[in-house]
Amino acid sequence: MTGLETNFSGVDWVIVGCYLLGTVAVGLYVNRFISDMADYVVAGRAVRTWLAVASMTGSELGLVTVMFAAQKGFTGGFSAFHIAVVAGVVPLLVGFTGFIVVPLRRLGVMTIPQYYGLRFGQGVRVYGGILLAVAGILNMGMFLKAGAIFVTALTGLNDPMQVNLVMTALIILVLIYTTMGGMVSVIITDYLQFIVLSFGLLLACGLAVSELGWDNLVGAVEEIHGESGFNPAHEDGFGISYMAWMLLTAGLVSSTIWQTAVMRASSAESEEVVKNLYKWSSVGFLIRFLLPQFLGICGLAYFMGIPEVRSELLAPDGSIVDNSELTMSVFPHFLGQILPVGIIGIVGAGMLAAFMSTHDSYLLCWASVIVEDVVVPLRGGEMSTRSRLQLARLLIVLIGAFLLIWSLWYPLGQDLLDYMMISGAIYFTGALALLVLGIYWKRASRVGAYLALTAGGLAVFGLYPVQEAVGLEKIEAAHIGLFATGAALALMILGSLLFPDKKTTNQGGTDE
Amino acid sequence: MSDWITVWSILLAAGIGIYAVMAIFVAIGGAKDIRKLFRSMDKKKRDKEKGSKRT
Repeated sequence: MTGLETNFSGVDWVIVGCYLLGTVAVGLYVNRFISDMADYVVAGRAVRTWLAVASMTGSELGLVTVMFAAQKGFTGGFSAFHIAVVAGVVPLLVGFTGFIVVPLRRLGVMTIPQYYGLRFGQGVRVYGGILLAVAGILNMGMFLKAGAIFVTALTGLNDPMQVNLVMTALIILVLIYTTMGGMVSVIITDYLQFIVLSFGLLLACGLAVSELGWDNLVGAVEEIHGESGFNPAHEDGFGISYMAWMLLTAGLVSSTIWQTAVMRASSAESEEVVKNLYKWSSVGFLIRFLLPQFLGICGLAYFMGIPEVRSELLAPDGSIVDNSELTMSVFPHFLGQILPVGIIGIVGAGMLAAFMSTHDSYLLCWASVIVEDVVVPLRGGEMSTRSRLQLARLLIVLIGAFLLIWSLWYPLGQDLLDYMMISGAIYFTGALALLVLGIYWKRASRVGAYLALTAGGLAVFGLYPVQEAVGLEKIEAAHIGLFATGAALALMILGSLLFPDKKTTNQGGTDE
Repeated sequence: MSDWITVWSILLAAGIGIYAVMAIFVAIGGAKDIRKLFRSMDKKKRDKEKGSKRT
């Protein structure tokens, strides 16, 4: 956005530098405690409730989450809060029932494809592992772009070379402490980030409300979005199908199917801790959408009052301009305006640590999946702990290099949240069918599992650049995602009924 | 529309209030859990090292 000054100063850069270097030092320090793969991937399964809650919330409250949630608040108004509601209520229900996560913890699996292996055989494990890693890495693809937009807008750095240097330095720091400390360093840095970011965002909300006033916020949303800015079911806004898609993705999938959340459950000390973790984390799942969405609304009200910026953000018909990168930058620009010197450094450091934390969790996660669920089964299970750790560390570096290239090359073309959900759907639509039916339906079979995983791949057509490449007219990502989910469930049932397993393995099936 | 405004304002106030309290509890409890985690992993590593020396 043109002509905007930021409050970010030299003092804030010093705060950011000290904070980030301290984070790396923690990663290096905890390396001394790692003695095997279980320590590296799930912290020796010795994480207790409070730390698990901090880690889960810290990891899920990443810079990217905050950016896409704030963007939804800006482009959707108060209606976007429906996403926060489903994101909070579903994990709470999971906490009370133990749905999916308790059977997984009981089996002691570290990754979801490991469960596929127990329930449907090693072939499904390898196939599911490949799909999971591909979808997961694509899902991370826009993280660097979001991070670069954040740094540019918050700090006022305008030189692309400087921004690239900052982003590269951040990635290198993440790679150092993730490769060294594994899940233990991830959990400790998540904890630090949870504290800084929680209090930083709460403070930002307080300052924003005192500066703008509640009535102005409501008035701005009413002026720009009308009724659809308050009623999520309104046809001019999100609509019923989008709400259903969010119930599935931001609710059920984020908390129970997405590999990083499952890894937290796997790291828990006991089944009781898993349940407590979900009950408590439900507040974090709610807040990770609610606070940034609210700050996105505050950004809307703030910038609509500045005529030069207003004209940049609005299309000629008065609606929000269709430019994802611009609308994503509203949140960090707003922070740069509203927070005072010093506080902006702390919040900026927390956000950058959040950026690093999300990267470390995801890098560790996808590298572990490739090693444990693809390479090791293909080698007949014969691979030493040392070789596994070395390969995981090498993969972390390779994935990091891929992300640098992908974030520069891929044209986003849709809201970041929608990109994230649909790229993740390549994996989770099939995974949902395999987990739910695999755990709770004894007749689920191997053929059904292969069909469901393959059907989930249809979700790739929800990416707008893919739609353009194959000549499709623009179809809402939510519609494609819901269709792929339905197809995966239907094919899982059909395939299982038509081609039942000859000998029931049933190691994951329960009568629950 | 005013009903929706009421719903969202209650959600926001309640969410922020509950989260602020939870953040304090998690910050204190989490620090204690980190100490316990380090102790248990350190013990496990030393036990392993002792075991490998014996064999």
